[in-house]
Amino acid sequence: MATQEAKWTKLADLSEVPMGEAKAVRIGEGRSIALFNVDGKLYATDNQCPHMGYPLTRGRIRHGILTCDWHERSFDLEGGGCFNVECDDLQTFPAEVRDNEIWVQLGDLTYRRKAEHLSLLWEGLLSGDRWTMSKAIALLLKGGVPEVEIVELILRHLGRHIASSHGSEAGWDIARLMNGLSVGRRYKDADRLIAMTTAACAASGGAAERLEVVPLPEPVAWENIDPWIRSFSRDGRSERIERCLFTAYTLGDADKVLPLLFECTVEPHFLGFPDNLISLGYLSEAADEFGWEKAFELVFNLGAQLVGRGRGEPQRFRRDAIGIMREKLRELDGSDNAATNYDEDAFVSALTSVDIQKSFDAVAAALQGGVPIDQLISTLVILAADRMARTPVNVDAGWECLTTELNLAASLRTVQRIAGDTAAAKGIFHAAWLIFDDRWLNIPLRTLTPPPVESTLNVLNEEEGIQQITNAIETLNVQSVGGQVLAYLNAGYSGDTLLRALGKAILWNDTATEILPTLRTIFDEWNSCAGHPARNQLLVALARYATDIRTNKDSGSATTTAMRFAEGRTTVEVFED
Amino acid sequence: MLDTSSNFVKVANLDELAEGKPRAIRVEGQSIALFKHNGNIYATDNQCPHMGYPLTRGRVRGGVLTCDWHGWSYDMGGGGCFTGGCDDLSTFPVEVREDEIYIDVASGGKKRDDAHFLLLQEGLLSGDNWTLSKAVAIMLARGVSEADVLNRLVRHGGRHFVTELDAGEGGWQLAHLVNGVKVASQYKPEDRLIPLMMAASGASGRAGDRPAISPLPGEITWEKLERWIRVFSADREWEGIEKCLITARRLGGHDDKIIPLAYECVVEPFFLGHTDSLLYIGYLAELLEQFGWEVAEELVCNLTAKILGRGRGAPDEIRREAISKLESLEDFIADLAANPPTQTTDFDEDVFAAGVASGDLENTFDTITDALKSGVEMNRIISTMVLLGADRMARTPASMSPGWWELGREISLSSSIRTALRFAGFQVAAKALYHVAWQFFSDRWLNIRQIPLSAPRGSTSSDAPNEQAAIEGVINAIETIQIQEVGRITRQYLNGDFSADRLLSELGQCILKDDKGWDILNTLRTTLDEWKLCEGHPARNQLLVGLARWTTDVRKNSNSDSAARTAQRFARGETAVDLYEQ
Repeated sequence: MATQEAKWTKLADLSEVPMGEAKAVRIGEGRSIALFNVDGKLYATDNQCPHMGYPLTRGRIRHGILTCDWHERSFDLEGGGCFNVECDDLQTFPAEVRDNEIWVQLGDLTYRRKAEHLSLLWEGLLSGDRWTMSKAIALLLKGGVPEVEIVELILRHLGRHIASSHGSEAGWDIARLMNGLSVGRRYKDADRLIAMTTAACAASGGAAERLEVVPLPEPVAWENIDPWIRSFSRDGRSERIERCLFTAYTLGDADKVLPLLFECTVEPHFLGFPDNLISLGYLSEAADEFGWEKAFELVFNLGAQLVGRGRGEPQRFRRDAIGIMREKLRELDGSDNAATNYDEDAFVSALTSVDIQKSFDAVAAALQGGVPIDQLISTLVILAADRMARTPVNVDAGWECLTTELNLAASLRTVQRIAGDTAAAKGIFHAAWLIFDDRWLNIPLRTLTPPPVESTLNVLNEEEGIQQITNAIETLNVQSVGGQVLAYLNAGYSGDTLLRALGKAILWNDTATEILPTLRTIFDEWNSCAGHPARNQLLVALARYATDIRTNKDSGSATTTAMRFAEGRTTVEVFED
Repeated sequence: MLDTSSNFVKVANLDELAEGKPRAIRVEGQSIALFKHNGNIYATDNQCPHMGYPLTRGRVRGGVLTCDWHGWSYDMGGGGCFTGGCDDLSTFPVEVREDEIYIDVASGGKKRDDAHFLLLQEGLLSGDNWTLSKAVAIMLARGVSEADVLNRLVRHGGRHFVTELDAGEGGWQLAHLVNGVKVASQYKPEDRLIPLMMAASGASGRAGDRPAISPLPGEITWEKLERWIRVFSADREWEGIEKCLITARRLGGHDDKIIPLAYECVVEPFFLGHTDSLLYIGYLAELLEQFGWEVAEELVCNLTAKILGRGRGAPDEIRREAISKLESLEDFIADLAANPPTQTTDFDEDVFAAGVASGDLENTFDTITDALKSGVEMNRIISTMVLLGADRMARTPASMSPGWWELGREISLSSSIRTALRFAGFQVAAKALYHVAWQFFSDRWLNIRQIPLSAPRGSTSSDAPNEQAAIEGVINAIETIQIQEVGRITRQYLNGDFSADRLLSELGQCILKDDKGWDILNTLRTTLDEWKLCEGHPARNQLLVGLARWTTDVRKNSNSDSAARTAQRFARGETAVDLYEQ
């Protein structure tokens, strides 16, 4: 099995490492080897502490245990084994003294610590320590481990985390995980690592064994399960739903699960719970992408919690809205859809009329008028972006409400794809309710047809334009960043390039976790809404949002260090002469 | 397939059953519920699998049957429970032949074969005593061996302790696990359910995820590991100890050295004042002895590491003094182990007991040293210390703060030195004597008059007409909380010509059936052991007197055995259904 004959190399003269002392020796490729003379016996180890890269030549040795000065991780000086958790073993090398010279057998440095680093990532996922996750992912990627293996570990952990230790608020975790992965795929290297780490952080937290879910005994069929789930969902009995879902899976009816969950959650009584639709959308993506075998625990457990959640007694407006929606659905039922002209401006003006009857009337009319669902969805997406692009940022800009409007609208595309037109049509009422519910926002009424932009950005080229905009974001110049984006686009520079740059600026800021779902939606919708006259508002919205909530704390430092670490360049350099 | 029809028996006429009016019928002693729902006939077990309420009183909607009591729901057709997978309902095939309802009882009850294992797992994860009692009762009733049940407890305990408990909490739960098992073994199978439930409860709780610990790489020897474990124990770094223990296990051939090494660590002078460590290592040794490394490795390696590496705080002045005194005795003890003095039978117990309980540190330690020096046999010293603790418990004034818990510790710790002697030898046991003596010293605040152990403790005997009446007298005194009388009544019983073994057995049951049995379980177990080991000693009766007084004083009379009794009825199929049926 010997891969290549390990070479002995002379690293120092014995006189350079007196008894009780240590010396660091450079061996190229940025690597540093630590030599220790303990009571006349020579030891050689990697000089970089596997925990955070501090030079071990500065550590302490006692009873053959080498302890790093910085965080006191301890290692077997000879074999390299680490005595602490959340830290991997230290590489050690055979050392000999020949004629007063120190010779070390450096061995081959090929990567064979995949299992160890996957385990390290798992420890990080359990403890929630961002550094451990960053380092493990960086080392795994550097070692050539396929990204899908890393992602599957994260997904499996999230399933266990949510099922054993979490409630329905876990929808937020799955949102950040799926969007971190989706956004990460658009980038490379450190940009990708930071997106993946943010996704891993979203999936992190305690996880424990829980009772195995077993299928219901026979005779039982999908025809029984379907009405049961609907009834348990109506009654808010989430704990009774999971076993039904699992039974459907074992009966071979897994494909009917998500459409049913969507149907449950677009029911009128779920008005006001937009995160249900959004989270189910992400669960559908997880099932699509990783397959049922990998995703079933996550989908069934969280899916059951979502559609079976308690909804409380609706207050007056919600109760009215539920009543109107039921009425509209009855009217729509059985009526023939005749194709008519779609007046987007009229539709938008009804949605923003602050009158739920008018709003739902307009939705019903559009549906009855045969306007294609995806066209209505585009209108809702652009309307939300336009509201984000124009909301005053002096008091409370309402970013959370507005991004929910945007993400809900976009998630209706998933509803349509998975559960069909009828479910998506019901979903449009939910989107309309949200706009009504956000009526406190002080956004002037306007049609979606944008007024002509007068100015163009006064820059030499595209690169400079992007520079100016990212600079506005980083200096929190929220009052002018929107105008700058419009002026940039008006000058004919590429929206795609700008979007990538905005995404990067967001990823490297602490607020990335918060913005990820919206960033991802805008990446998707920038394509889906191509051709819409107000499409540019997507980029304006994103730039304003990112600028306003920016914290200017450098969350990238863990990622930067992890990248350096994986390349063997660490703080050792800082401490060496 | 055809002859299955012969299993069908007629149970009712069709016109006797109406929509919304379920009926209970008896078939071969079993209560079966008949329902008419949306024109179909259903037959299920009438006993709700959760707690036995009659399901004929439940509600039916959309094929879902919901029990009135706790709201558990079932699929009427297949019997699946929507509340979990452990408690599916038995359902029976139904046929309607010429306006008569037939059901097939024989092929009904298609429960999963592993349902009771799932139920045990549910109980272990949740720690719910009802679930644990029911699971254990059903498993034993279905012929699962007790050994199999216990192995499952220990394995789960390992997973639970590792992520959830520190040294103190882990030791406390371990004590329940081990002593529950030990006490159960002293009773007949039909009386074991409560101590087994206590053992299960000791093992139960959340089992968090944790990556497996890999052994240290490179060339590792036992000598290195042993040195490192001592270093990490002194430095209170338990993670390193666990790593070393796992490595030792993987090296192979060193398993038998692990418990002795752990003992050597916890009798170090710096452990003075953390004497429970000694007790817990003893329980770990017993756990390994009964279950073996394969079953107990995770629990033993993790908890041993946590105990050896536990924080011990900065010692106050008097503890510092005791530590340095013990340090100065180390050479003497080593020498004693190397060159044992000639054994002597000359041992003045009264002087020894007075010295140990003198409340003077110098005197306490010197008393131990003198006994060792003069060659008194170790087990004899231990018996004296056990009975000294028991006598103190039998006589402590029950007025203000009797110190039951501390006195229980004195007895259990003293007895635990026998385990130390058996697993780690004389030198460890000799050091352990000083640690236990420290416990007596730190209990000096107790207001117990000094009386020589050999002095008689009352001579009147019970005037009960027979043993049964005398036993009832003692138990009645406990149950009516006659704390000032129960000691005398117990002593009079023992002075009479009645069986002390029987009293101990009944006393134990009485303790186990009370909520406060949890506190006393460890001392009960010690008493069961020491009653035999101290046979012939004049002060032996004080073991039972002390125990009876303690249990009386802390008694709650809240019947913690009701879960166990219900579980047993449940496992036999007799439940609340009987109470509700005419």
